[in-house]
Amino acid sequence: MNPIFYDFKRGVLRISVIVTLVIFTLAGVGVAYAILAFIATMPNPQQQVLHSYIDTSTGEFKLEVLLLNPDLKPIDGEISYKLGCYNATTLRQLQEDLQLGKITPEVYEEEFEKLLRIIDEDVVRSSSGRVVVVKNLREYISRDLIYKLYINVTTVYGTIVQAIRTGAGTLYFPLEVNNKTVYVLVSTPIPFAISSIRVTKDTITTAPQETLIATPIPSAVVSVGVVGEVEMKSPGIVSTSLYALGFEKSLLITSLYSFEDVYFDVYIEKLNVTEIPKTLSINDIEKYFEHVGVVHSGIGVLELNMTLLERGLRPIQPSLYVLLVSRSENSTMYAITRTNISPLQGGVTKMIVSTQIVGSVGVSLFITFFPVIVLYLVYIYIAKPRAQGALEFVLARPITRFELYTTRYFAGVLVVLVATVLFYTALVLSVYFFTGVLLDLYQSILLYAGLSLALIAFYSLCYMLSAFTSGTRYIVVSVITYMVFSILWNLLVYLVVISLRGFGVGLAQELMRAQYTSYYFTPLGIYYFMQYYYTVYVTGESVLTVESIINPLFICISTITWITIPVVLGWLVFKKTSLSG
Amino acid sequence: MVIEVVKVSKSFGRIKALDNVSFTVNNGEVVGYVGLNGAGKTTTIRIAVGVLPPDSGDVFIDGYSVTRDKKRASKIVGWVPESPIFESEFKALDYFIYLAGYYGISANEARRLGIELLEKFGLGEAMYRKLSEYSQGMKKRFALAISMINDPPNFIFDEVLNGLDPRGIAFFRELAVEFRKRGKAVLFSSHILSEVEGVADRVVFIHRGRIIGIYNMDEIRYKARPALEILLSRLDNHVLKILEKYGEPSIIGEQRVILRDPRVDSSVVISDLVNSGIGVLEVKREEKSLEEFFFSLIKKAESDHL
Repeated sequence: MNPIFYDFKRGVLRISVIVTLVIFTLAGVGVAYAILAFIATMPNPQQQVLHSYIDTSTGEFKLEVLLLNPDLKPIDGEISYKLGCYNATTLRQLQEDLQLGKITPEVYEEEFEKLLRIIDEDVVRSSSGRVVVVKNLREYISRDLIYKLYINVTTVYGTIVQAIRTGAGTLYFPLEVNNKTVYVLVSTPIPFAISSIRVTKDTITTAPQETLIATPIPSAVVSVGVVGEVEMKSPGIVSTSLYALGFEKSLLITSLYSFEDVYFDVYIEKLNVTEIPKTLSINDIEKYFEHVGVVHSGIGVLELNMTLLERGLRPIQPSLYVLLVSRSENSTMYAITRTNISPLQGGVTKMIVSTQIVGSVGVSLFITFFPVIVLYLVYIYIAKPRAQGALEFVLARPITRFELYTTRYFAGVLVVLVATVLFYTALVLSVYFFTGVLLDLYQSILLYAGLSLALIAFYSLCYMLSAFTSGTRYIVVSVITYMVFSILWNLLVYLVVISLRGFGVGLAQELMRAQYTSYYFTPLGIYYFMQYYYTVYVTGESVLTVESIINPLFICISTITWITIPVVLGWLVFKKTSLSG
Repeated sequence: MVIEVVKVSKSFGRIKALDNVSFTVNNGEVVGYVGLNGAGKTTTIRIAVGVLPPDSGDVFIDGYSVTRDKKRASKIVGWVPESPIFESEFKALDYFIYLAGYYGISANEARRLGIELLEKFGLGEAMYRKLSEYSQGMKKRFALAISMINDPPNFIFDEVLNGLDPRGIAFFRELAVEFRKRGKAVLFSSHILSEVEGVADRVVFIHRGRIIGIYNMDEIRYKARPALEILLSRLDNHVLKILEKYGEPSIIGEQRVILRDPRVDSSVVISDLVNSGIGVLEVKREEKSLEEFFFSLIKKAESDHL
């Protein structure tokens, strides 16, 4: 067996190294968690689609939720909801008193809480992003009440919390058909459009009635109609959202409530139609609209093979008509909304996750602390056995001193490479498991190369130190070296720059320039350069100040120098040194 | 001629540890390498096994230079140091397998060989124990097992009997004799001449980094055979004549004579002298004759050096 692999194998089979490798792997998972925890503190980018109703005649309460990540892909999470109800008249009076300044917000909150009655609450985990809850709340249901849903959604992107104390829940909208009232809640991601369902015999009025384009405040999402006082006589209501996912695909999300559980054909305004008449015959629908799918009561997600974007990622039109039609022998139900086209920036999730991977709680954490493991590797390979005098007995085998020096060097390099692979794989797979985001090959190469080369360069430096010193002295010197290069480096650079030029305009740029220049002079510099290239690749934005400093040729020279020169210098000392301890 | 030390010199800073040291150890021969502590024995041996580069000179193992052809030379020489030091966190058998890798032996073969050799050298029950738990004697046996990985034709024992119990001492002595029988060249260092007496064919004496003598064991025994030191009332030819009947007398003072290799008990010599009218004032028997010989060499070397 080649001595390098043998030393690698016996190096890896040490308890300390195995523990190290386990730490590397766990660190990968841990860093993934840290990234998620950090993402959870960012403005919440997740979305959800709601569909809920309370049937006052049967007491049936249904809640259907679809959780979506920033790329509008289903994502699993946990929902905790509370269904609250109020006396409509008293609440209206209370709100008026607050608006007129008759009561303070504190008093309002107190009175509001007295008024609020929670009639159902639960915590449910989603499956494939979906949650469906059906309950019978007959004893709590009354036509004199108004209902609000308070829903907290928790995914890897954090928790969206709706404040119950201030009543910032989502209001149910009362619909009345055949002397029966149903409280309905339909909600699709912002921006959306809502329309009631109408009944017709042969014509469709295209001017949307009782439709609102949502305001960006979620709590005001479905304030359609007059709260709690006027029941709209309509067989149903629909909310639609339309997203352009890049140039080729689009996504239509619907949340539909219909008294009758029937299918609705979904149409979207044809792009080549210049103007749609205000009234059109049912038979003319296909002249102006294109059939894109079928939905029924509940949540619907339709992928459309439509190009809704033009160059510059601008929508072809600001909005399009979306028509839902359900025909029967006697009559036709339809709803029409004018839905804004929202260009969805592709790979939002990936960008968020990718950026965080190299962030302060991501791989940077690894590159800050894992050189400690590297200096320990050198200690167990060379510094400690040399101090004990154990290398001499090894050298008495059929091996030259140079081979002894190099086999242990390359064995350590192999451990570093394998440890980095373990860490990196654990990190990437954990991130993939939690977020569904998988880094691409280029990102992986940049990060892996940056990490492994930086650690190898630091390993080389420590290896050289082990030739000059051994045992405890090596520990002291290498820890100081680690502190300087890994912990204090940026601070030292800042201190030098500030002491030379003082505070003033352009200091930040000067510091950044000095920082990147200094990376040529640290063994860990290659990581920061690769991190920069990675960030530019992920965000598409380069930093002019850094671009003027960063040079691939210099990076190569710096890295090769940091890896080779210490090893060579170390050898010049090691070849003459006594190994007898 | 299998272990050939040729004009080896080595300094540590200002201290000259070895000065132009040369000697050879032949096939089927055990050579004792004797010197006081710090004389340069271990330095010579470390150079001979290739773990310490000499300042000048070279050591050849079966003709292979330890400085220029170290790998070949190391393959054909075994070494048991005075205090073997290993990477002690290893278990014995694992470390054996690891070091066997340098001889190009596969892990499976090394495991088989390791079990065989460790059992042979009395470490069968300790082969799965950590080397840090080994006693000095066990460490020496382990070093021996490692050195026997490829059963080399040359062997170097460095102060190997130090710190061993009588059984351990006997073990290594017998081993050296067995190696000689098997035609190996064996260098056996010690700071006590009598330690190598029973095993060595020749002895190389070193003092302060210089070789001060190379003698056959018979020659040493002859020169260092037992003697009676006698102080007489008078010393003349008549007295010498009487003494010549019992050994080899030589005058060392005005009335003082040494009778080397006495063939009879001292009482016989004394009664003969007294019956012949010669007063015997004092009789001393020299017991540590080998060491006396060794010290006389040192004394001579120091006076020559001055």
